[in-house]
Formats: sequence, C-alpha cells, structure tokens
Amino acid sequence: MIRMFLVEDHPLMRATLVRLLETQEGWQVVGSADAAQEALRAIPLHAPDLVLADLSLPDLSGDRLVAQLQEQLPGLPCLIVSGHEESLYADAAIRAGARGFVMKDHPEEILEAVRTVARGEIYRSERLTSSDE
Amino acid sequence: MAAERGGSKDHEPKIEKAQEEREGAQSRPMVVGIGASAGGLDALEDLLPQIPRDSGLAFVVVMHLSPDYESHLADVLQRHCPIAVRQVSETVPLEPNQVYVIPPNRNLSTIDTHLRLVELEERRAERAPIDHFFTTLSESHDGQAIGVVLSGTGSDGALGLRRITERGGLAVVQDPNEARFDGMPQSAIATGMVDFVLEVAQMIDPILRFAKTKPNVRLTPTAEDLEGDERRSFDKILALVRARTSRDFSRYKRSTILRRIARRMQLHRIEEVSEYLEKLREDASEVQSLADEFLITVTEFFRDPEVFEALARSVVPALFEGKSGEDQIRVWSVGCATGEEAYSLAIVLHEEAMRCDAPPHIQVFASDMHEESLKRAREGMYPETAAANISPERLERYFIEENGGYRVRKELRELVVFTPHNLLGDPPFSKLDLISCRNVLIYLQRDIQRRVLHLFHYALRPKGYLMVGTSETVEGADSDWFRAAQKDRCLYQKRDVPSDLPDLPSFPLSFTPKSTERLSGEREIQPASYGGIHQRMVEALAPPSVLLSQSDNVVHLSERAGRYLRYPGGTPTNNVFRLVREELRIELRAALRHARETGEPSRTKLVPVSIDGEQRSVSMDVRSNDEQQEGFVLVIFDERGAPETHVEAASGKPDATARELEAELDLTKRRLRTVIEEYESSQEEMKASNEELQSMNEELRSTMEELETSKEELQSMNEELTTVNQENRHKVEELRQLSSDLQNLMTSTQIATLFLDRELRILRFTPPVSEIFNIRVSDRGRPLGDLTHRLGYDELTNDAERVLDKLTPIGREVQSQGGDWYLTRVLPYRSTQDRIEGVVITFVDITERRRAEEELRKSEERYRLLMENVEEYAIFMLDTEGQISTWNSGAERIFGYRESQAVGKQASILFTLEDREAGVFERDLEESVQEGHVAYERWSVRTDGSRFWVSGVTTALYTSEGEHRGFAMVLRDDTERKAAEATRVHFQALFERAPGLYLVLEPERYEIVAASDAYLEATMTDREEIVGRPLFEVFPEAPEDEGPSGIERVRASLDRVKSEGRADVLGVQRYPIRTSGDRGAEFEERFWSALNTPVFGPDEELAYIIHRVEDVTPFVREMRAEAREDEAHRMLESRAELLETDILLRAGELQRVNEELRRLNETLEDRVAARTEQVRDLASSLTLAEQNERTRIAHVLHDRVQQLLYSLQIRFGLLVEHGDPVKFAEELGDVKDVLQEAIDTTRSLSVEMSPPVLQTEGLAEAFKWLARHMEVQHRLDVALDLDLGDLADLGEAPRAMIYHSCRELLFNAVKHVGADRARLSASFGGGILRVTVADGGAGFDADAALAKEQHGFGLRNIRERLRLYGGSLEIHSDPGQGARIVMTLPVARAGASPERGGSP
Repeated sequence: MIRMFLVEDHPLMRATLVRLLETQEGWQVVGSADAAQEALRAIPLHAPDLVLADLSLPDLSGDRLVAQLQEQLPGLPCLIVSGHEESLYADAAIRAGARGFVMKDHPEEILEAVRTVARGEIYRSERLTSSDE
Repeated sequence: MAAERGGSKDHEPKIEKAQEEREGAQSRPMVVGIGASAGGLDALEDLLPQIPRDSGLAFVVVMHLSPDYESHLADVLQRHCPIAVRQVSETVPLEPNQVYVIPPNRNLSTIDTHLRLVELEERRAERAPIDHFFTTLSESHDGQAIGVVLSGTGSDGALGLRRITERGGLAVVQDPNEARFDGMPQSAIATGMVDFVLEVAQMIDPILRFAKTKPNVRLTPTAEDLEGDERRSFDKILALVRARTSRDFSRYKRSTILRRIARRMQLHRIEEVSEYLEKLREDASEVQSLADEFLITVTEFFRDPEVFEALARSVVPALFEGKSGEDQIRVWSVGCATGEEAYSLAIVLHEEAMRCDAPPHIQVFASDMHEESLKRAREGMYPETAAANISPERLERYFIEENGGYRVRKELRELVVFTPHNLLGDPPFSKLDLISCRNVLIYLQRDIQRRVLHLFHYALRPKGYLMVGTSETVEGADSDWFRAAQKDRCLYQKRDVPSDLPDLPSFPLSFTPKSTERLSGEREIQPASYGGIHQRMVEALAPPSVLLSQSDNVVHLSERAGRYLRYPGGTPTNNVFRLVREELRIELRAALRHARETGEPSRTKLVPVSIDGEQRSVSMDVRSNDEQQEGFVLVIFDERGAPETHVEAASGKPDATARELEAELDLTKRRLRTVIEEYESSQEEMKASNEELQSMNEELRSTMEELETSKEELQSMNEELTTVNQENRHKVEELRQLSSDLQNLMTSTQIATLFLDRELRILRFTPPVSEIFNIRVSDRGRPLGDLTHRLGYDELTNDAERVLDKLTPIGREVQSQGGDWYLTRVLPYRSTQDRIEGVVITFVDITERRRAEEELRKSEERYRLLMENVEEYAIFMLDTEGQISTWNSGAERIFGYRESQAVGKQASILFTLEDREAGVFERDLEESVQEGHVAYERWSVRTDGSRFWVSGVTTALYTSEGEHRGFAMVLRDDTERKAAEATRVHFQALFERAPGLYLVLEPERYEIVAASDAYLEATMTDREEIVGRPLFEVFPEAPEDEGPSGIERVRASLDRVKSEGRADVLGVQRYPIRTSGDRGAEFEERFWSALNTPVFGPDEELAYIIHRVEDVTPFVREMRAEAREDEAHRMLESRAELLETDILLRAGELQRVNEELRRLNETLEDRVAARTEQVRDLASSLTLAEQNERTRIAHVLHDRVQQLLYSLQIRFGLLVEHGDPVKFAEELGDVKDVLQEAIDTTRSLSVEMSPPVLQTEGLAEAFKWLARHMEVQHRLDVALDLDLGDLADLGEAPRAMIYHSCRELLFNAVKHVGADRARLSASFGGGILRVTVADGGAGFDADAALAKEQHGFGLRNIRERLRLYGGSLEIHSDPGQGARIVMTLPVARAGASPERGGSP
C-alpha cells in the first residue's frame, strides 16, 4: 500500500499520472495539487507515504517545494517527475531533499522510481543527460 | 332501647340506601383486623401461615410497636406468610390477599376502602391503636369486619372488638390459656361479646367461614317493608324470643334487629332465615344469645333534646331550689344501658350546679340489668359518632378525645354510680329528686307498669320528678301519684299523696316466665265466668267475710262484711286491725295468729258488739287458705243476735268480786290494747327502717362496685406506668448510647465546635476549640463574651445573638491572630422537638484552602495580565466547537475585533472566504485534536475585510483528566515579513535572470552576495559554489599568471570604489577560465572588461559593490585575427606583447582616458559610463526580448505540448497493457482528446508566432486578425481605425516588425496597464506609415518607463527596432490618463531593408 500525493499543474498530465499510478495494485493517489503552495498546505493533511512533484510548477519549482516539504515533514519521500532531461535539475532536486528524479516520458520508469523511493532508496533516471559531461 | 320513633314517610329511599350500602360493602374486601401486643409475634407467626392465598380477605396487623425504632415487622412476618406483607407508610387502598402492617408511631384508620395513618395520641396511656383501628374498621366496614385479639397485656382491643360485634362483625380471641400474655384476651372475653375463643391453630377456619357466609337477609328499616315469607319468618323469630325470654322486641328498631339476626346466621353459617328459625326452635340457648344480641343497645346522649331542654330549663332549677352544700340531689336513671342517659343527666345537673354558689352534692344512680352494658357505662368511653347530639361546649367540658372516640371526664364520671339492679325485684333507691325511666315501661305490661310507678312514687321525695319516654304516659289511676309537670315533655311531678309502702321485698315479680305466669294467674279476673257469678251469689248469702293478705291488709270484702269494719280517722288504711270494730280486735288477733301458726281454722268466742246502737254478739271464724295461696286468710263473721240476757242479768247483779275482776280485766284489756298499739306502731317504724336500711345497703353495694371499678382502673393505670417506666429505661439506655456516640463524634471531628445555650453560655465544646479560645472544662456555663480568643472576629457574640433572634445561620471567614483562617458558622441549635435551645458555632480551619485560593488567584492574575498585554500576538481560546471564548488585546489589535465582538463568534470569521469554503478552519481543529497542535501560515481577514498574512499555531487544550476543553490560538501578523520576502524573491529573480554578467559584492572582503545567471554561465560556475565566498578566493590568480595581473587590478579598482565612493571602470583583462566545472579541466583564454559601481544603503554608507564584467574575448580574438599570423603568434607568446596589443592598449587608453576624464569632469565620465551601459543594455534588451519570446515558446512547448505528448505516451502505454475492450475504447477516446488538444496548442502557437494572415493578406488584415485575437484570448476590446491605402509594398520584415510591435503594445495594455479596451489606428500617407496604439488604461510615466525598461514592457525595444528601419516611437501618456503610443515608419522604397541606424 503506497499512499501518494501528486503535485502537477497540468490537469491532463495529472489525470494521466493518477491513471498510471493507480494501475498498480495497492497504490493510491490520496490527493493532488496544481501548485506548490497548495501542496504545502494539503500534504500535511493527507500525510501521504510519498510525494510526486512536477519540477516546473507555476509558483515554486519542484525542488524548492521538496526543500520546504523536508523542512515541514522531514524524511517525507519525494519524487520529482520532470520533462527536463538535464541532470542539473536532478542534482538540484536531490540536493534539495528529493529521493528521486524521473522523466515523464517513460511510464515504466515512473513506476519503477516510485517503487524504489518507496523502498527508501534513491532513484535517479539513467537517461539523464549531463550538462557537464 | 331504641323504640321506633318518627314516621316512615321516607322509608322507600332508606331501603335503597340500605341495599346500596350492603352491595357496596360486599364489593370491597372483608377486612380482618389482628391486634397483638406482648407475645403476639409468636401467635402471628402461627396464624399467618394458615392464610390461604386466595382468601379474598385483607389482613391488617396492628401491634404495639416501639415508637423509637424502625419496625421490621413486615419483613419478619413475610417469612411466614404466603401472601404479600407490607408496612403501611401512606394512605393505601385495601386490597384482598394482602397483609398490611402498622408502622411505629402511628394509628391506623380505615377510611372508606383505604388505610390511612393518623397521629398517635400524645399521652402514652391513652394510646390504644388496636381499639382505634377496630373502631374505625367497624364504622367503615359495617358487618364486613373481623376482629382478632391475640396475646398481649392490658386491655387494648376489647373496646374495638365490641364495636365490631355491635356493627355485625365477628370477634375472635386467642385462648388465654394459650396466649403468652392473657391480659388482652381476658379483657376482650370480659366484654361478653366475643364470638370465638380459640387457639391460634383453629382460628382461620371460623374466620373464613364467617367471611364466606352471605346471609340472605334484606336490611330494611321497618317490618312492614318485609314481604311474605321473610315477614313471617321475622315475626316468628320475635315471637320465639318473646316466648322464651319474655322480651318483646317487636317494637325494636327493625334494621338493628335484622342486622343482629344476620350476624347470628353468619356465625352459624346459615344463609336462609327459615333455616335459622329452625335452629332457634331446636336450640334454646341460641334464642337467649339472640335476645342478648338484641339487647346490645346504644342509647344516645341527650336523646330527645327538647325533653332535656325542658328538664334543664324548669325541672333542674326547681330541684336545686332551697338546697345548699349540705344537701344532696339524688337522681335515678333506670335502664341506663351503656350510660349515655345517666351521663346526660349528670351533665345537665352539673351545669346547674356550676351556677350555684354552694351547690348540693349530686348523686346519679344508674341501673340496668345488663352487666355488660354497665361495664361499658362505667368505662365511659364512647365512639365519635355518639357525640353527635352533644354540643361542642359540652364535649369540650365533659369529654376527652381518645382513640377516635370520647371518654367521659373523671369529674362527670364521679357523679354517676352504675349498679346492676332489677327494677322489679330489687329494693328501689329512696329519697330521690328525679327518676328517669325512659322507654322501659313500654316493654312492661300495664299492671306491672303500675307497680313500677307506685315504686317510683315511694322512692321520690315530695315534689320529686319523674321523666318517662316520649311514647310513655302516666295516666288513669296512676295520676293519683303523679301530676304532669310538662306533659308533652314527659315530665311528671310526684303528688304529695300518702301511699302505702309498696311491698317490695316480697314483690313477686320477676322476668322469669314462671313467676310472670303465676302473677298473671293470681291477678286474672274473669267477671263473666260462672264461677264468678256463683261466688258472688254464695258471697251474698253466706256470712260476711273479709280476705286478708299476708300483711293483714284487707284485700277483699264480702258484701256485708262492712258492718264489722269501721274506717278510723287519719290515714286510710287496709289494715284489718285498724279497720275492724274495736271490740273484735283482740279476739281476731288471737284467732289470726292461731290460724296462721297452726294452719287450722280457729274460732273466737262470741264478742258483744254494738252495731248501729244494737247489741249483737259476733264470733269470727278464721281460716287460712290452701298452700298455694299461702298467707291469705279468710275471716268469717258470725252474728248471733243480742248477747245473752242472763249473762247480762247475771252481770247486772252487783257482785263485788266480779265487778272488781271485771274492772281489773278491763284495765288489763286497756293496757294490753295500748301495748298492742305501741307494738304495732313500733312494728310499722321497724318496717320503714328496714326499707331504708335496704336502700342504703343497695347504695353501699353500688358504691362498693364503684370502688371495685376504680381499683381496676388504678391497676390498669399501674400497668401502664410500668410500661412507661420500662420504655423510659430503654430511652435512658438509648440516650446513654447516643450521648457516647456524640462524645466520640465530637472528639473525632477536628472541627472546633461550641454549643451555647439561649443565654449564650457555654454548654459543651470539642477539644479543638481550645486552640482558638482560652477555654477549659471548668468554663462551662460561662457566657461566650467572657472568653478571649485568637480570632479577629469581634462580632462573634453579636452574630450569635442575631442567629438566636433571626434563626438564620451566619457564616464568615475570619483570620486568627496567628494568620490561620477559619470558616466560622453560627447556627441555631434545634432540639429534636424543633425548639431553638441555643447556638452552635463551628470553626473549620481553612488556612490551606485560603492559601491555595490566593495562590491560584495571583497566578491567574499574572497569567491574565501577561496574556492581555501581549500586543504582538493574538492569543485567544476557543471552546470545543470553535467558538471564541477569550480575546486578548493583541488579538484586538491584529484582527480589529473588540473582545465583546469576538467572544462567542466562530473563529472561522478570521479566515478568508476561500479558506472558509475549503473548510480549512475545521481541518485545523481536527488536526490539532489529532496531533496536539497545528502550525500554519496563511492569509487572514481583519474586521474591515482587509487581508493580511498570519503565522500561527492552534493547540488543542486538555484538562488534567484528559478531557478535551477547547483550543488555544496564537497568531502573529507576518504581512511585512511576507512582503519583504516576496520583494526579495522578486528582485533576486530579476537580478539573477538579467542578461548581463553581474556580481554583487560585500565591500569588506568582497564576498559574493549574488551572481546573475549569465555570470555563472559565462564563468561556468554554480551559484552555490561561489555565493558567500570572497571574490578573490573564487577567482584566484590564474595559474599561468605571474606578477601583477588582472586580478590585482580588479582589487585595486574595487578598493578605489570603496575609498572614493564612485564607479570605477577597468580595462580589458585576461582571465582564463576552466572549460568545465572539473578541477582538471583545460583553461580557456578569456578577456574581460569590468565596471565596479558602488551601491549606497539608506544611511549613505557603502552597502554593496556591483561588479559587472563583459566578455570581450571575441573582440580581442577578432583583433588578433587581423594581425599577421606569425606575429600574432609571437604576440601571443609573449606576455609583454600581449600587454601591448591594441586591445590592451585600448583598454589602457580607455583607462587613462577614464582617469583623465574623471579628473577633468566626474559628471561627464559618469555620463559616458552610463551611456556606454545604456547602449549595451539596448543591445541586450533586444537579446532579452528575443530570449523572452523564445522562453515563452519553449514554455508553451514544454508546459503544454510536451505534457500533452507525455500524456499521450503514457496513455498509449496503458492502452497497450489493457486487455479490456471497454477500457480500451475509453482510453482511446481520451487519447483522441489529448491529441486534439496537442494539435490545437501547436496550431495556436504557430499562429501566434506568425499569423498566416500576415504573410498572405497584408498588414490591414493582420491587424483585424490581431484585434479579434486580442478580444478572444485576452478580453481586450480593440477598436480599429485603418487607412492604409496602397500600402502593398511594405516589406515582409518591417511588416512583421510593425505587427509584433502592435501585438506587444496591446499585450502590454492588457498585462501592465490593466486596460479592457484599446484603439489601434493605422494610416499611410506621404511615404510614412503611422500606427497609433491607444489604451484605456491608467497611463504611466513615459520617461520612467523608457528609462527603467521594465521586464517585458519592451517599449525601448520597440523603439530600437523601429530605429533599425528609420522609424520612431512617440509616447503620449500621463499617469491617470490612457497612454497613446505612436509609431512612424518611412516606407520610401519597396522592400526596404533594415539599416543600422543610430550609433551606440
């Protein structure tokens, strides 16, 4: 049983992600938000096991959101789901406290990333392009 | 004796009523009253188990219970009883198959069909709860009551049983031999009215039998109402009684007779009258019992009130006339029954006596044959109903209320002597002033009536009075003796006529039938019989004779016997010796004696008698009667002509001796006669004395009996006293126990208690009192005021007095001199009788409590002050429902609500509308309950509706017991912090995104405070890497550099800025950077130009230095490329050559010029520098605009198109996984929608970037499209005013430029000015295209707008672009008015290309 909270500003993407995540037995998206502030308010209420956040949000970037969440709820596993492939973002997110960084265009990877993070490990998409390599 | 009186006019309703009563009585349960006392519990335990469950009877147990203890009698009895036993505690209805038990201290009554408790008599000696209950029971349950008396001492129950029997109930008594105490059974039996005397084991059967037998007798008031067989049976019963007992009850009250008959029938379990008649015929004793039953009479007090009135008015005063204290008034009440009449007479007499100064002694004799009645009369106890005819005054004066009835007071009782007396057999009382003989005569036959009247005449004093019944008269011959005093009132006065003494002792009258018959036989005269005629004829012819009675009275004369008799003067008499001729007396006396003594006839000698002057000789023949008529003697006179002459002759001869003898004889005869006369007279006197002695004897006997009764009373009183004594002993024991309990209680309580009497003297005190008062045991009895104490309580004595006066307790908290606090309470001391007997003062040490209270109060005060005075924080509490309960001044300040406005409101009023709608407040409360507290930051609203940012905590509050009591909210106004943060973030972002390469340095150690993205990019560093570190640590001397280098110059420049407070420009510097972030990466040669500008803080101190650099590497490279390759190579090889390169020269020149310029004209230099920067900014603005557009497009691509594509990708993935065709279709539908959206998005993006209309249709159409687009996309109403004429040859580039400029301006109007409408006018003429965009917005400061060039505003950008095509931009705007922006563009030649216009 994994209770997840989804932060994603694009409604269609949000619905799609919910759809995708809930194909898995025992996974449940307990709440969602389309902006970081709303997420910050709502997440403590829902007390999810895991937070999936888009990197680009209208009010605050995903990694900032993660940083604030870690202040509020230290240890809450957060997974950044992004369209950006740059490892720069991934590193920033993981520095900010995210437990994983995964690309949006690979559904299988998203599921894998959720599993990994839920296990307490860190997931970093292998397909990330490094801007400094 | 209740003779029928009054008419029977209203007998019809009486029948109905009687029947109703009877039916009513039968519908209620028959009640068995059981009275018991000492030893009664054993008997009850034997009796109750025998009661069948369905007897249909209600049992009521009345016992003598101790008044001081709770009774468990009901519980004890229940163990033995098959039916429910309950103690009566209130008025309850009587229900069958129940046992009711009396509670202590109460009398039990039956009222109607209910049991009710009433108060006990105050005096213990008067208490008789069994009698009380039985009496009320007999009255409420006429004939439906059964009384049972069990073991007990005393006589309680006897009177009550008699009442029950009287009313037709059943009386059962425990066998005295069986009873543990036989006092009560014996007393009951002594009434003679008990039906059964049985052992307890045998009791229940007769009770049930009696209860079950329902005699078929109709109770009607008169015999006439009876019909047929009933009537005949009734008559026969009365005849039988009359025949057997000579008592005629035919004129007796009918209903009483019937009820009594019914009761006898019930006793014998006989239901039909005819059957009972049989029983009477067979059983003579039953007749006697029935007659006795009839004789149970209840006479009335003051029966026939008018008679008593007359008596009191005229007769009684006459009796008292002339009498003094020495005298007596003697009254005889004949047939007194239960004494009511005797007492009535005594009352009347006593009342008269009270009016006299020296009243005579009153003596009322009351006599009756019925011993039982007399006994009751002596007791003088009457039921309440008996008092109906007694006036309240008399009741009050002569009676005592007792056990639901009235008892005659002693003083009245002493006036009356009750005695058994047979009127017709016993000697009468004598010298009476008044005889009351009412309703007795009517039961007697006429001749006996006469004798009785004679007797009364004898017994009365001269002018004495006789009172008879209203239906009785004294008439005819009897009126010789009495004259009517008040005839209609039945009062007669004795005539003072002499009457001979009634021959009382030998009065042969009695109630035995035999004697009555004999008497009747003797007196029977049947004048019409042949025997009578014969006798008279014989009498007429036979010699004259007289018949003498035993007492020598002439009772009958023959016709001619009168010639031998002569009435002497004086009192008329029948005595033969007084009547007969003197000459005959001696002879007759002798002959009579002889005849009586011997029984033989005797004959006298001839006696010369002178009759009618004629000498005759008479002899007398005396014959006694036969044995049957003993005592009657017949004297026959035999007359023989003249006496013999020869005798006369012989005697006529003087013969001296004979004469002498004759004279002597004569003398002797005379003497003898005198002696005889004396003897006779003395005999008369003796007789009279004897009579008196007999009367006196009778009186003595009566008095004796009285004394006997008194003795009994004394004995019973003694018994009562013993009981009382016993109780007192118990009481004393209880008191001792109580006193010891109290002693212990007082010692054990640590409460100081003072007991004071009514004079406020000390009675008692508990030991702790001595801690407060200077008191010792010896101080008991001293007044309170004398004591000194350590209390600051001067009003103590006053308070005590006030409590005594007002009876309201007073409580005070007082402090002792030692600082201890006491709660003193002054209370009235109430005795158990609820009397106030003094004052109780208690002192409770409350020092601890006071201290704690004080502490608490102080702490609360401190806390309250603290809370109220916190201005920075809103601190307030909510109840569990979220309503505000407290409100501090901080809250008032922050939210604007006053305490009165806020308290009681739901705290959600402090939340924004959207938060309220989203239920944020409720979630907060919920969460704080779950988690203990919840912290938050959010917008909140003040009372005026304005919003502000708060941060706060809501904490759930719990009591120490863990009960949820509400919430505490602590909030702070964080708006300023929030705003500062927002501003900081905003400017930081602005700065970081700026295209230039900027560093902000702290002026001390040149620490990097901030860096622009462009700088980071250019230097290939991360912000995190450099921010916070000194500039020269981040950028150390380049490895290849030796000697003074660029870095040193940079430091020098910065130092100059610091010291001079002016901007400082640096020449071109070489500073190689690493090609990547890695440490081992290659260095790349770069050239930089730098400008250091000071930033001053508000206090005009140097706050920061802005370090701006420009990468001039390409420029340097270009310069180098122009040089010869080898030379260039050489130049590059040598650092000196490098320093001499043009660029460096130029930089050096610039530096020098700058220096000079600064020296010459600081202002000019600044302007140059600023201008330089402006130019660069312009260029970068262009780049920025382009970059912005790119960013926007990238954003659209990423945020929309890319998301859509990702979605599609995921959906397709899901599609592939799905096997379910329905889901498949659904997913496919979704995918189609997503695709459509993606297509729309890309199309709109491409259109926006470059509308196709612009390519194909020219500017006018493009404007029209733009206007529509603005309307649709941004709700901006754009009015078009187009006059473009033949503007067909405008080149593509300027067209796009104009179009995009217009689009940007319109977009600005929407985005930055907030306009909702705008005007776009375009005209073409004289080779000039003029496009004006006017908005309806707020306007702006045009110069400022151009100078500052806000992000995205792009005015300067547009102007620069226009300039590229030789055009210009004019701005007409003032804040407050709309802006008008005019673009002009020369269209000189077709396909005009952009021309580099304007130099930087």
